[in-house]
Amino acid sequence: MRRELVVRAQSGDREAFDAIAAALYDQLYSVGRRILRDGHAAEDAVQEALIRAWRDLRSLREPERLEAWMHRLLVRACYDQVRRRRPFEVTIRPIDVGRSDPADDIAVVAHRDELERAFLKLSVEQRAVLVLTHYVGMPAAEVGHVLGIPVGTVHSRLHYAIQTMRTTLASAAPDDRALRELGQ
Amino acid sequence: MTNRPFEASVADWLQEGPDTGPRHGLDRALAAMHRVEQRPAWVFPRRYLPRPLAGVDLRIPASVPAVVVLVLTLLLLVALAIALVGTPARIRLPFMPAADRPIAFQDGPAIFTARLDGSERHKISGDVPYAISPMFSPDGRHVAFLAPSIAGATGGRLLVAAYDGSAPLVDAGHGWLVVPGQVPSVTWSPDGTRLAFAASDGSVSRIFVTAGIGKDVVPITDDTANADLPTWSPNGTEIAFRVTDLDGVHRHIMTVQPDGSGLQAINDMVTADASFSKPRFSQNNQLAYAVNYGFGTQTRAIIDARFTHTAEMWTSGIGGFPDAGVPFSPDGKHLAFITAADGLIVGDDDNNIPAAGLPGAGEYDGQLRRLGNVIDCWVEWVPDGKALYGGSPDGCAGVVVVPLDDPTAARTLPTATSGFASWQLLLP
Repeated sequence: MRRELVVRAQSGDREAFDAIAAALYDQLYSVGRRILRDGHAAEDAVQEALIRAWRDLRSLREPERLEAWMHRLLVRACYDQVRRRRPFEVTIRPIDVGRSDPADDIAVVAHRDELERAFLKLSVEQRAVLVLTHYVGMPAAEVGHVLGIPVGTVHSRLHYAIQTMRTTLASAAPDDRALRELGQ
Repeated sequence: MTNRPFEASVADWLQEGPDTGPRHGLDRALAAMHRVEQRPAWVFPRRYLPRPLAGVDLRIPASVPAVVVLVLTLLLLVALAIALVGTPARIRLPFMPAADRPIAFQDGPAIFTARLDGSERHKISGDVPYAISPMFSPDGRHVAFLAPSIAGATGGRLLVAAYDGSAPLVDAGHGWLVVPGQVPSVTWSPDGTRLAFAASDGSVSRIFVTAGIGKDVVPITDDTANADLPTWSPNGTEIAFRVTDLDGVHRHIMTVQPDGSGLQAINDMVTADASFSKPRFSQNNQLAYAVNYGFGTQTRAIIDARFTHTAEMWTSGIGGFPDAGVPFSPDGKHLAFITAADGLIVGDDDNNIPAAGLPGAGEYDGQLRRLGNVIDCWVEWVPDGKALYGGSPDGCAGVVVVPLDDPTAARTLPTATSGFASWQLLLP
């Protein structure tokens, strides 16, 4: 993003910010879509992030960091989206994240919709770390900066997110289909 | 077995999907954005302003040079200083609100009740060798406390005494040991006739409820997760508590009815290095709690209106005991919490959080008032809500009371010498 465009937007130039928004919209939408797994919710999250960005743009001290800041706003907007439609889950069910089972390998070839279901079992914080790491390609330090969490927490969220998805997949497909796919 | 192949397949799966957003989405976002004004960079955060000023547009037109703004501000400050110096000294309101009610406190290994000036002092813990964490019943007739088997322990048997020590002690926990913790895992029912507490048989911590003082004790949570820090709602219909699944990663704030039915998850998170605090109820059934990320280095003090909205009123480090939580004032309009860097803070319960979908939804926009480093470890509200009391800032060796109208008049109580204290809510 060109620095002068951001500086112009910071001085109140709406056209400059429109150009920024248009340039960033696709990337923000695709990140939000992957975190929320819902196109409409992603649109709302991006809209909210853009509104907040425009409202508070003058407080951004480093115009060069606009994209990282926009990702932070987007992730916060995604958190809000999830909180607004927070599911009622009343069962206290421990998940055995530490077990090692040959059936874990089924996850390598699991169907996409199963991955989708396992992904939706994660907290939105874990989803954000996974998407920023594996879709956007940010290093852990950058993810920590964007999310406002220590690098160690980034690593632990990644670890537990992956473990939880493996466990969910293994418990959802324990039988012949899994074994059949394992043999493919 | 390594995670790598699976992690790679998840990464591949995440790459699938649209890389562009719908054009109508961008158009809608731009249209919404155009309805919003940009904040000037130097604007004073509204949360620090008195409420009457919160709605005032304080921006200065860009045409006014910054030097003029600076000079005018300095002149205003000088005028304020002159006005304050020339004003007669403030007449302090009567100190010690609710002073007619005694407090229960720990003095050495025993529990006492006394008036705030030290008069009418009664030892109420009998011959128990070690007694800690007194809690007045809401009706003011009884005091529950913990009796550890060894000095220095923070859990123990749950005993109940008459407020003046005039009746024999009752083993309200029927031998169950209340789990140790930063704050006691015990709560009174609002009518003062029952108790809920967290106890463990050595493996899993569960919530128990008594049928009465000294009567039957029944568990209301199962042994599939650790539950502790219960709080009884003011209307008596619910008990909120903290849950940590056995994997130590899945954490929840939950509520349940006193008979064990109606279990609900209020908030959930999956993390290895963060924790919820004790949940606190307001009079209108809202919950407040802290989320301590990175083991307290970052804290979100949250007001949770039960699935309709939440507001994060603090997002920096917490001070004192992270498990203590964020207590509501008796009228439910304010919350208090101790922070790592800014001392004691009192915030409004923000009832003006924009509804979901509107700009600013979920943001706390109430007023935060910093009272300084006047309390440490734990904080509670004095019954009439005009003061706060808690651990003294010298390492919590005593109990200090901080009047809200003049925090500089904070005083250490002559009666309490260590540990938690509990102010009597109602005269028996």
